[in-house]
Amino acid sequence: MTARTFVFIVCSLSGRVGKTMTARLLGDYYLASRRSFRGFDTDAHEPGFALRFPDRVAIADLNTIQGQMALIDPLLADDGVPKIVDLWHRTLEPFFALIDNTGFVTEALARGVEPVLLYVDDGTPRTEEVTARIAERYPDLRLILVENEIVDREATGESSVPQAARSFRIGKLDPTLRATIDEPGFSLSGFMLAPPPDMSIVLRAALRDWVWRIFSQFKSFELRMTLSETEHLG
Amino acid sequence: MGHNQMKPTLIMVGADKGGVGKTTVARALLDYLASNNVIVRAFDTETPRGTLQRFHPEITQVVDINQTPDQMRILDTLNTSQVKVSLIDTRAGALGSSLAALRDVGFLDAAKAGEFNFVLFHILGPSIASLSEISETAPFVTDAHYFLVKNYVNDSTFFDWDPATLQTYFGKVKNASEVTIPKLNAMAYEQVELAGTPLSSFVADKTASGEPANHSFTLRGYVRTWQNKNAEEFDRIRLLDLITGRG
Repeated sequence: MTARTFVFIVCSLSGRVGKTMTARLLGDYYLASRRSFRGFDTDAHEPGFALRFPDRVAIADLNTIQGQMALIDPLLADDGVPKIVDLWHRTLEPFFALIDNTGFVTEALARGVEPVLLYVDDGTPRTEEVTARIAERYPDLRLILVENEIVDREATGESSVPQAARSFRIGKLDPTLRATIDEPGFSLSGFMLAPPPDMSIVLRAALRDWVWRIFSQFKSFELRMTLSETEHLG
Repeated sequence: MGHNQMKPTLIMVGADKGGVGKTTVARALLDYLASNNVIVRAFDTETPRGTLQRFHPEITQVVDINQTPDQMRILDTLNTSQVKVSLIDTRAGALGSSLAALRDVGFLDAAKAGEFNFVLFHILGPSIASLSEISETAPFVTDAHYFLVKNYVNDSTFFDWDPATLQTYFGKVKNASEVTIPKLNAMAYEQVELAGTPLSSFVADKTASGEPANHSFTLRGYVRTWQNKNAEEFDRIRLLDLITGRG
């Protein structure tokens, strides 16, 4: 059995749908399980993911060849350290042009690196169109849909993607809890490893439950991947 | 392919202007042929120091095509050499005089008589002036496989020609076909120049001596994709068939 190095690319055609939250949760999942990760934020103007993990996440401006190299070259390292890319929605098209122009997916798979695309549903029919196009164009790329219930759906309407197709679900979050986790210094992994004693027990229980439901989906994904790699006798 | 039965082929890469990426096209051709198991010898007429020779030193000789001894080195050995495909990267501005030299020594007539395959890649410059070169070159190449190469490798705004004007010029040359070399990312182009190795070595991340080179994957990826597009273009014009006489 050979462990793969995962490269998670969190993306969507729209902004404000929870890409950075998804990337953050994934990063905190690894930290909470006492593992490391390396992150990349392609929003050079508002690098929310990089600000959340300044020691682990680098900013890569895809408008420059230097930025492209700063992103793509490390993603191909089969070093066992998971990589998480928070892809700013305005860099979605340039990113796919880049991976086309460099043959990234083929090279990654050849090196034992497994790219996983986490597409965050924006609640419009475009999600179905875009994910179908991606799946057709990159049959070897693992594609997972993320439904983020934190986002207010009133503005964008209900999701058009069938429930069965969803693999990751980020549940609704009470506004008080949302305000808590949005605080600049608040660490979800720190919370899971050592909950602050001065925090309301009600908030603590609710937040732990919310985070645990998400982390258990990541854990489930990892276990599924591990099982799929297991070599059986006979 | 049966190399022993192959008619000798001379591939000439030329331009009447410098700086149009002529040697890059020659390099792309050498890599394409090597990847298709076609053994090639190359001549670089940029005397005394050849640019092509820097990238392919093992197969490249620097020659002066206007000097009789060097003409003999190239042409008299076309039939006798074990290597049946020869590529000449002509010095910038010397396409016309090189073709005249080939005519004067009887090579063009021999090609017309079917003794040799003659393939000419004429790299076009960015200006309208270079289109007039086509008319000047045309009389020399009536019996050659003549390809007009639009080379975008180092400038995306290279060919802003009026399509009608372009068509008029292309229409003047019988049997001329168009080949397009796509743009290569500027830094990838620069690095592949600096590396001083064949394109395939750069893509394989090797130095000239075969050691690991530590080039950026991103840049290598750009070059590999560019090479693949070139290969599609050379396949489209059935270059291998032309060389093996099936074209």
